[in-house]
Amino acid sequence: MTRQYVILGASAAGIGASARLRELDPESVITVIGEEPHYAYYRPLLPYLRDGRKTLGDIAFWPEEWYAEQRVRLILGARGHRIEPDRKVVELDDGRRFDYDALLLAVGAASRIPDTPGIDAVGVYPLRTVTDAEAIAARARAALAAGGDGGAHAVLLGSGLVSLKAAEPLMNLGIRCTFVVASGHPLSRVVDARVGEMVAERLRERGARLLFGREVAAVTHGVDGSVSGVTLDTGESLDCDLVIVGKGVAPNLEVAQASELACHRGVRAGTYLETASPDVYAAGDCVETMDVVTGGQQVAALWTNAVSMAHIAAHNMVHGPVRRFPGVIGTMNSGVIAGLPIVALGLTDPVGDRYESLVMVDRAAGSIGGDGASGNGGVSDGATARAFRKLVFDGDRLVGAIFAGRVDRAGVYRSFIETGLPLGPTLRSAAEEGRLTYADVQMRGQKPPYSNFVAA
Amino acid sequence: MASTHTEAGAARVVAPSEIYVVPARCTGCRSCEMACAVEHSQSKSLYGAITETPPPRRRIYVEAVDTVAVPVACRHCDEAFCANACITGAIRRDARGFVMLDESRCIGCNSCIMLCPFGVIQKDEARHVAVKCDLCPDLPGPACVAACPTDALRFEEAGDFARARRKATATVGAAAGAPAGPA
Repeated sequence: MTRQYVILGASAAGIGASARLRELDPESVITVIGEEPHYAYYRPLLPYLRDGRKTLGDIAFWPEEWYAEQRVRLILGARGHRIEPDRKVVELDDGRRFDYDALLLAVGAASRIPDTPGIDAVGVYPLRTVTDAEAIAARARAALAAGGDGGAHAVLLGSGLVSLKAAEPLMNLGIRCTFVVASGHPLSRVVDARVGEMVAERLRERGARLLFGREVAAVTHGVDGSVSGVTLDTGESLDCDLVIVGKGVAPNLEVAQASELACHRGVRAGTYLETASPDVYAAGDCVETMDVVTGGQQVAALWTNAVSMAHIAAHNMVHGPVRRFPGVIGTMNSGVIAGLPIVALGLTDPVGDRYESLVMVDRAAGSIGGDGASGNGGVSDGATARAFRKLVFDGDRLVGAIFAGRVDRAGVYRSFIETGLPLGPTLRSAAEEGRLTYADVQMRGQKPPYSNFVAA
Repeated sequence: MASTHTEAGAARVVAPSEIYVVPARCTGCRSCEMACAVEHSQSKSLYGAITETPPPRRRIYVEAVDTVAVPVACRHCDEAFCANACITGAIRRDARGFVMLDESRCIGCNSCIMLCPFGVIQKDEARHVAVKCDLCPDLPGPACVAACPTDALRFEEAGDFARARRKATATVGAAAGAPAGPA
């Protein structure tokens, strides 16, 4: 019998699941319903789109014809879905109804916008969608064209990865950037103060101004409703042409709430990514899942988590709840910030006696965390100038790590954080010396975290 | 765009063959690393490769464990961490089931490096892209395997390899029962 799959959400999780469903069930009917008017795109590439370095076509997930080839029925610009689990029907707010045998809730997350007075002024944007990126680009061009005495100026609320990545193309365009940061250092949810200061130093070298321990109390605007500046909680005022809001994201819970599915910070999903309703699964940034490091519940909105969840949920939509999602590492970030490569994993700055943190800093070229035990065989490994590595242990278990400058083989360390397998003394000393490789794991570990053909 | 449509196959394809390592046969000569770097150079010749700027990068790593050398190669995993983590679409499985990296789409974000449990994706800092094993599409088989003088690397179907291993174990003296390398 031909099965019908409906997917709510048409981004990383939704489209990832549709591709896997087609592989697993070639004859099925697959319908994907998305809110944005655009074909799915690589959201983390939005800063490049704004930059003019890439077009919407360049950042598209698949070309338009892929959907027809895959026989994926795509409905875009649709809103207000409501699931009727008893009837196994989804209804859109225009009255269209779709039957399903299995459904995936993959509606994602939206930018968190603080309720600061004046935040709805023209020229204040988050960076989450193509629409946001295009608005920022237009505003930046206009500000540069107007070119007042001090040139164009942008204020960024927060200094998380989104703010930092949003600032990069603005700085490239010659727009001055000021970060207003509540915490004491950049990326405070991701790295410790020491690496934060390395990032701050690099940003300052690029002409950015960073204000720590401060918040924007109000956004000011002219009579035309267009942003003119911000007032800080210290009373200080800053003139600006553009404000970017980088205060994180929050799961989209409207559909789940309208459908009476259990939600906390995100949609509740079990080990098989199943929800409380039969044959309704959830994946991606809307889901609250287990943090394998802390054991707590966490919304870990991250591209790779969304894709991994989507593949597992698709499998379970076809075969029933058989494949488990192991959970996420709550902090798992990678990026190149102002030229500095950073990988941050797990508990990067924990408080408490039970944790042991080891920090290694090296000013010589690439001798930490780099090529490890290998010689270079006559070819370059492209070392950068300075490397920093931090490992956090809870007894014999590695529970956190930061790599900055050199990130080679970070995944070998990550596999231990994810699986919680103890390192043992030999692997631990290799890790501490920055020369842990998979060969060590294979030859010395009692049981490697991963072997060939990893199946989640 | 070559890899764009390749996940479109109706049924899920798993890589038919992969590079297998027999650690006991490795002498640590690094011929595999050299052959890999040369094959991924512009000139594809040893003397050309060593004078190129930026220098060519290898994608197989002979790691030292005490005094023993162990080559580590990409597994072309079925549920590939690197492909799931790629935020640009640069890493995808191709029609044969091999996990390929399109360097023209790579922005050098290191997400794949953060995820790969084998540590076999590394950054070419000179070109700001990640580099990984592509199984040498221009050759009959991977250059590293062809270059290995001790038959420590094999490019084989999983089934063949498992059979060969059993046979080698059953024969006194591993060399006597060792399977022939790929042509």
